Amino acid sequence: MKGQDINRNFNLREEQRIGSRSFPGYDMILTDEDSALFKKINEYFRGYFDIEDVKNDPSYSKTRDDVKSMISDYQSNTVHNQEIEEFLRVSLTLEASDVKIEDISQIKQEIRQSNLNEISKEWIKEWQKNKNGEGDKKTEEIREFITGSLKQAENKAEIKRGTSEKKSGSGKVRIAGYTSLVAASIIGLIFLIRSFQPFYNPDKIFSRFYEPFSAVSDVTRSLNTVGNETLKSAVDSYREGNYQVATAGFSEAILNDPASGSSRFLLGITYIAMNEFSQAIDMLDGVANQQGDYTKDARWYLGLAYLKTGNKAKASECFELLAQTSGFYRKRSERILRLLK
Amino acid sequence: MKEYTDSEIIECLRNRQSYVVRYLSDKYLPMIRLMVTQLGGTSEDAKDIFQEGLMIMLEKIDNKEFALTCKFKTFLYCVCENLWKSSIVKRKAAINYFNRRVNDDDDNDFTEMMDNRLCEEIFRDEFEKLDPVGKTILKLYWEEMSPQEIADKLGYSYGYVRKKKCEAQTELIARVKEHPDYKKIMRPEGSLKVVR
Repeated sequence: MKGQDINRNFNLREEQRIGSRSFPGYDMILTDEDSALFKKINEYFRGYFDIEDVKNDPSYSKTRDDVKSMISDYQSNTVHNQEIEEFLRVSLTLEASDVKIEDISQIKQEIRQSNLNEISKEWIKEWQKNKNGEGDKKTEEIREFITGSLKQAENKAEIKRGTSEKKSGSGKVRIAGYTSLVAASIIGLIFLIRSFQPFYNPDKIFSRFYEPFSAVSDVTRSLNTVGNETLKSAVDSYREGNYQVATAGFSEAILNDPASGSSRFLLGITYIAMNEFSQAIDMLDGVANQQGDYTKDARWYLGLAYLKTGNKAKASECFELLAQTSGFYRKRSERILRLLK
Repeated sequence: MKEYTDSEIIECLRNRQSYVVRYLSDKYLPMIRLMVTQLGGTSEDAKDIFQEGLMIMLEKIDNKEFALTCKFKTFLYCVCENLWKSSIVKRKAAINYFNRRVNDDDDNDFTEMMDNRLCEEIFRDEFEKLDPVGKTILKLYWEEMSPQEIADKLGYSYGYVRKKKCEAQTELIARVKEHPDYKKIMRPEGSLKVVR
């Protein structure tokens, strides 16, 4: 449909992906021919096991029936959303070197999440008000500091460039000066915003990073609900937001099978959903400290629960362990640790 | 590669963040490609179906009331599978209507498809012959687990997992290359031009 150029980029990205697998060193021992063959084997089995996983998903047959009407709706509609089409076309044709776009998107996302736009708007308003009026001593001092620093920087730059160049390119210098003035003002503003933001706000960190354990479903990892109706119905209640009922169900499941890490974990996250953080900690602590399918998830939610109860040290312990191991929680734990410092 | 939860994927798609589309393509295109090629399509068809499948999903996801009732992966697979099946029906109808003549290109397509199927069969057979530990480690590797995660899960050391994975991989490559049918396919006069 969208042609050759898209396919070229698909192939490029796939090559990069295969080359960046997390088994360092293995590519070095392969010849080009073997490497190409393993790439083919690799792709085949990744698809094969994914399909196997999909077909073992209990929701598969129902979903397959549901999407039929969705597709016929789509196909009968001749006018499709141009914006969606354009977005996907552009996304799939973006070169891998467009990492900066990704960086910018992430920055924008962070700005949205931290509400930086609103905060900065307020600060600009206040700054302009002070600039137009008399302004207080602090504003005056900041202004002097920034303009003074900029002048110093400008002088240094001028000395470096030399007098002759300064004469011939005075326009350029002025532009550079203005640019650095704007850049420094932005840096200054970010510095101001950051310095007035609280560094450690557990509630804010919690609400930014907490999300209910949405992966809970009939097919979640080792949660084998076949033959365990109590657990299955508790999971359903959790998914429906009936946390009281879910709590009773998970508690019963624990009584039936006291060694079950999954029931304890699920009860723990249900307590978090109910804002019962101390009870959540009691449940999750055991799961997080024993090897099992839910160890990392339990540690993540345990860390969040500790944050909410104000136990920064214990929370940091959890996130440090997660930051040291690879997996889904690594990056976000690193981010929390930075915020906790 | 950063992993995204299903809810993150949906949120990112709603916010039109391109990197999640690239993530989905990296992660799930092999699955869609395999499904399409097993049902008689080509790699190019798979890419088109993947893109169109995502378009259908995005139209639905944009509706704030949309909620996933299964894994994102399952949903995407179902959409693409249905889409491809309906596309096959249309193609068959078109072929019947125009009574398309069989030419060299069609022969080539068919041969390539048969070669690919044979290759896949060889891969599966030879994979089954590996020792159980090597097989398990490779399987987990294909399920996107890191060596450390595999080591944790199976109770082995990180070094052992890496060593076993390399051994299993080397053995699998050697076995495939030694397979008589694979040799036949790969011979210059053989029928396989592109193993894809």
